[in-house]
Amino acid sequence: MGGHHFEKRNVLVTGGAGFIGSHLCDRLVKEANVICVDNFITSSLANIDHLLREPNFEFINHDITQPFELNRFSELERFKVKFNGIQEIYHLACPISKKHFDDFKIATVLTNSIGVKNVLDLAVENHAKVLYASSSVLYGDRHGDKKLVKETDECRLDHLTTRGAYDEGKRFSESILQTYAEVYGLDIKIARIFRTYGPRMKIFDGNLIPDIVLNALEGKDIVISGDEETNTSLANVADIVDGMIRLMSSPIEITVVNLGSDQQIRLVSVAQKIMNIINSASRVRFEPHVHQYIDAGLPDISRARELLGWVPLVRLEDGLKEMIDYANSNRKLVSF
Amino acid sequence: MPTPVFDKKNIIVTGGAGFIGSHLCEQLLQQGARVICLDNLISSTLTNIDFLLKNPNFEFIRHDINLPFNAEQFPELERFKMKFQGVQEIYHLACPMSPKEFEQTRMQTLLANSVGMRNALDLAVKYRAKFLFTSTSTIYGPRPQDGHQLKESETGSVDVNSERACYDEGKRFAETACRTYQQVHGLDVKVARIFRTYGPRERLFSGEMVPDFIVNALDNKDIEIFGDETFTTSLCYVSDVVDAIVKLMATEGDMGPVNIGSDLDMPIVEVVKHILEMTGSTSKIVFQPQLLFMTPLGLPDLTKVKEKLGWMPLVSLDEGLKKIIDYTMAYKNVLSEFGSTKPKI
Repeated sequence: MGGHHFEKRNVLVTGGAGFIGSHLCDRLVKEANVICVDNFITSSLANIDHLLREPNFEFINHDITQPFELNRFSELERFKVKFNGIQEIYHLACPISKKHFDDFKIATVLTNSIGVKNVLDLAVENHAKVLYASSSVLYGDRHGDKKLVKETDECRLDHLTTRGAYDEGKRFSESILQTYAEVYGLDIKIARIFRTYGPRMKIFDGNLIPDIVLNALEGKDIVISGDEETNTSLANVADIVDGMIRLMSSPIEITVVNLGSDQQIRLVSVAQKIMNIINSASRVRFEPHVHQYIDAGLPDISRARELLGWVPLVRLEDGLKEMIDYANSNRKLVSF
Repeated sequence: MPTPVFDKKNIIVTGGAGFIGSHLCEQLLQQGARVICLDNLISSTLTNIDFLLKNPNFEFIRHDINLPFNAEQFPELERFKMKFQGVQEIYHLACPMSPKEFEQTRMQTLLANSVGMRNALDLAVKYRAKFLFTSTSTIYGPRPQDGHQLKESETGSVDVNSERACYDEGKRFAETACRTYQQVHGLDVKVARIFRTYGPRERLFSGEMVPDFIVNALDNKDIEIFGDETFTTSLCYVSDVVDAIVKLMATEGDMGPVNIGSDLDMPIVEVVKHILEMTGSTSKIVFQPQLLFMTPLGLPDLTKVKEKLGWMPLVSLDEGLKKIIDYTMAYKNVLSEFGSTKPKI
């Protein structure tokens, strides 16, 4: 073990074994000591398997709805957490599963209230900056709305749907952060993340893109929720992670920022692109949406552009190729 | 598990020493229930329930709902035989509320709407009790520009990053928590969205305007309005509100949230004029800047509560004001001596 760890900042990532979280850990581990916290409700150890050997990386299996007592984890001694504290907390942990949403409802309610509180108590204790991964769902349904969604737009969300534990939970989480910022002077950042794609996305869980890739590879029917005209925008996970890191290092006045792609694309043409890359013989079928579906619309990303100098850079074709490569090399792993 | 039938129901009221809570406890006792009143007295006071403490069917426990509540730990509850008779109903009212001290109680408000909510719901799961949550009209957001009456089905719009989000957004989330527990645990949950309410025992000198108007009118002191001539509001008398929530609890099955309040809009200046007339006061009206937590609110659409509960507000403004004036006059010495202390009726 090198003696230079104390010179690096200590960064804690909750939900670090999830889709976006694991990519964030990948990036952060190059420059910081990373403490990854996860309890695998909807994430997977396979996502961070390659990081476990990194000297800058430590994984802790912990449920954030239980209070944190970092001193209990002797494996963190090498990061000198007791003396150096934690400088940054990326809070991503929240159960997410489109298909098995009902199984995690209570866990979701608790994560979005008590979980956020526990993370913020840790931030207060350490005077750490906090970045919260919020979601475009909090804007409510923007179906048919042609306008890009701004951070200052009014949010109209039905909080009593079957998805309330997640959608409304994200809203309340932001309010908790805001209150802590006012009461304790915490430096808080809120990234409102729009639809994101990339390797390690969960398959067969209602996430369209990885399922399209897998079905295209296997020549099976490709099922699209919606119809010919159903639109979306897709941001590559590498871009989102870059945006989050920029946001974390921005000045204290900057809090809420949309991160996502503002390029509208029809789902059917995403499927076509994937099939072209693979040279797949799959057929496309259309099906109604699962669950109560919120179309969050497309983000206005001028704030991120102006304040963080951030724009999505990865071309959709390149991102899709990367996903296909990942699916190819992990097919056994991902298709169980 | 079917609810066992005993001679008396066991009912828990959280926030039972508060303004509405204390009136609720009183009514439940009159209806023959046993009442366990939980309160941590953050923005309420023991004097509100002083007159109930000797009632053998009433027990006050000073407890913070942000901590799990375990009835077995309290020997004073043994006579309620909760182990065998369980708890049939839980009214969950506890949440700090004080427009003037809003900033000091922010963290407590946040906790009440998250940790406290969870503990209250877990209690309902444990006892398979019916659960009524007192939500608020502020979940609809500010008064709509066009002034239309708010239906329960309206999604409302609250700024999640505003300074008062811990209350407004907290209550919205608390409703979601209720709904989620209902879906997962099959709880029988009622949500009462209560609009602006007034009556005896409302907290003095904390920014709730009506009680302060009366004290100052009786003393011929200046009357402060937080806002200007355009400040209009509806006011519902507390006994009407209590009637409605008891009726709501008695219903079977899920009817979603229910608006409870008055749909009669009036300028706050008119309310003050009534009070000045009724008390023969020479006080002057002084306009002060609006408080973060004392703002014009929307008016309820009362169609649902009328149809489903057969309820509407009955006490007129004059009657209601008269009652507070009598109450304030009777206890004026104690009120002015102890500031915000409120004695029993």
